[in-house]
Amino acid sequence: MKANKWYLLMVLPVIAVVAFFIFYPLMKGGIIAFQNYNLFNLKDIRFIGFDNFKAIIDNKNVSFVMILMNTIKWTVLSLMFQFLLGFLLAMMLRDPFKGRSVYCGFVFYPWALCGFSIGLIWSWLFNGQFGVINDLLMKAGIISENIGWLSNPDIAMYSVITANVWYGIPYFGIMLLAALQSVPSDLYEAATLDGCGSAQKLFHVTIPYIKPTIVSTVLLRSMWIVNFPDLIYAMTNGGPVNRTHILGTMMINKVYKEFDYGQASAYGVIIMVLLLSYSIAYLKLTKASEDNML
Amino acid sequence: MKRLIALFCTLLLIVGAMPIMGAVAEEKITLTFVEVMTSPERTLVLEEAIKGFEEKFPNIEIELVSPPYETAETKVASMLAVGQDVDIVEMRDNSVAPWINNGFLYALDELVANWEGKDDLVEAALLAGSSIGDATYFIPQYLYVKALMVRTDILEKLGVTEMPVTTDEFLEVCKKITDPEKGQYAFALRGIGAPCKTTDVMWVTEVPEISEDNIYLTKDGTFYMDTPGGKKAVENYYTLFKECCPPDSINWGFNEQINGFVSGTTPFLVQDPDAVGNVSKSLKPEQYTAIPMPLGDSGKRYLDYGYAGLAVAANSEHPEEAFEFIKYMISGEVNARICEFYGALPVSKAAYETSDMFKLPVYKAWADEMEDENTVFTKFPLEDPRFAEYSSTVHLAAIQSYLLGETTADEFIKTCKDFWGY
Repeated sequence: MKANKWYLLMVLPVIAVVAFFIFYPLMKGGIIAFQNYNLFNLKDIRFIGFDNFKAIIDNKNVSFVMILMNTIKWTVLSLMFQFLLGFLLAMMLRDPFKGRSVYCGFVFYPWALCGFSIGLIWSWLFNGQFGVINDLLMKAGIISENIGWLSNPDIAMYSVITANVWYGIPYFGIMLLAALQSVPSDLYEAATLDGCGSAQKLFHVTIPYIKPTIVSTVLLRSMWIVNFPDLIYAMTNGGPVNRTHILGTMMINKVYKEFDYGQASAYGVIIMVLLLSYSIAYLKLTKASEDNML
Repeated sequence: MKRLIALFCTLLLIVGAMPIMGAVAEEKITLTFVEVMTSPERTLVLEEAIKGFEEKFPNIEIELVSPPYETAETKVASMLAVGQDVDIVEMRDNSVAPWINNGFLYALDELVANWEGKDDLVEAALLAGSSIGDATYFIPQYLYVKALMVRTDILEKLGVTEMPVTTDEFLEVCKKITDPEKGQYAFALRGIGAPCKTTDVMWVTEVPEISEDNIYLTKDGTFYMDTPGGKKAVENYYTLFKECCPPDSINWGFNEQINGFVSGTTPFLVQDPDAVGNVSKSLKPEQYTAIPMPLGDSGKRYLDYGYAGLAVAANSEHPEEAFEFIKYMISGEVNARICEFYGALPVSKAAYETSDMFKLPVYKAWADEMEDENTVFTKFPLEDPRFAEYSSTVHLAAIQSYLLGETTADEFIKTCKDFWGY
């Protein structure tokens, strides 16, 4: 019992640091979401109940449903393609070949860049008038006139998702490659002896074995994508006509353009609640499927 | 007696040395100066200016704080809100109102009244300094006023030698030179990044009697777009976009506009003088110029003066020394050097005489339009907290939607009018 108290004392500094640097800002953000907290007038900070949330949901000029749907589209499509291509990349890199480490270095390079600079690079690539992509497609004879990748409201979201997919592939590549390398080769040998083809080996040996990594990386990555407005901000600023605005970009707008910390925090709380619900549901579902498999 | 003389001499020495001892004992003052328009090159220019100040005032030391550009304004606001030791702050026009409201800034009226050199400031600078709040809270360092920049070489090749004077002539010239098949367009549209600051200045000229206090209102309090002239301007802008601008320009910010102008794709550009700083890196002076903003049906040109300036923090312990630094920063030579870096208009009259850059023909447009009797200065309602939301979200989405043909001119005008409630 005495020893337990001692351990508790040893852990206390960590708890204090975590509480101060993580829980306090979190709580403070939560409180601001219910306050009239605008940099325009800091002398008038007061509790206003759910008014910030109401203002966001009832906003006539920026439809909340559209922002929510954009966020879902941005997250699901980005995650899906990042995962599939990242998995493919990891599978290709699993077996050693000459120059693999150098190749890995090049492939993983995007992950080392910051979101805002990736946004700037891709916004020039996708520029409808001077961009490289239109130029290449034009020279290859695939298109006859410029495509407004970022200026056409029907295409813009897919353009920013493309940039995000390019950025996120290395993450899955790195994580899944590490997991794949831990799959014992005798499992494959046994599967071969049992007459399994490549597809059966993939679905009955590889994927089940690396499932814990897949579950945790997909969960983490989906949260990061929701909270990754930098790219959109640099490429389209949420436009055209709000078609690429997601919850995160609206939050940035509220802070840096409108100085409205109250509504920005309300966006933050909405994101947090959505992510929390998603995480619980996701973990329950993956746990259930795991139990079914056993 | 000898002792008395010795004592007297000692006393004399002590008394004589007192001022020197006092000077030695005088503490060196350190002033904290926070910049907001941070870039590595610009920070070097500021450091150079600070060095000059410290040489001139050896008892004052300036500590420069350079927060990252994107978050600088909120960072400064936080520093001021929590009463951190800040003496001088740099500020853009859009942060003036919130900072004054929050009591972050020191009222400079008394210091300005006793300032002999204030006559060296151009008139617009003094107007701007007292344009918000009940006192003078800041001194502009440079001014932004819109003018029409023109690629004279491209227009000459396309057979245009007469520069447009009216908005109707401007639209006609734009239509004449546009040939999308050859990749030739006319106008570098501002698609993102507060496009209202360009469109409103271009449109209000069609409307007579615009208020000098609020660009959105006529003198009788009508929302300007909700007038025949306003509607004409909105409709003409749609024609301008559809017939004379690259379709992609709906997503163009400052950099893309400059690129369009420099490449010759869009030889007309409505911009502030700081665009010259960027354009001059790629074009020779004989390839481009600027002309005053075209006049609309009102016969008047309503211009807004944007600005960035310096202010003293309300809780500064050394406001007088801080003001001394501001005076130094806007003195002819230093003001010229900093403005040369940007291309924005200096506030010091002496800067126009000492700097070769501001003698370039391209800057004549700004001098001409500011002196023109048809020019009237008006203001964006920066002190209204809703302006930030209007410029960054509401107007931005509404005009994109209108130009893309998703909404009509009337619907666009109604969205803007409903937002302001005028």
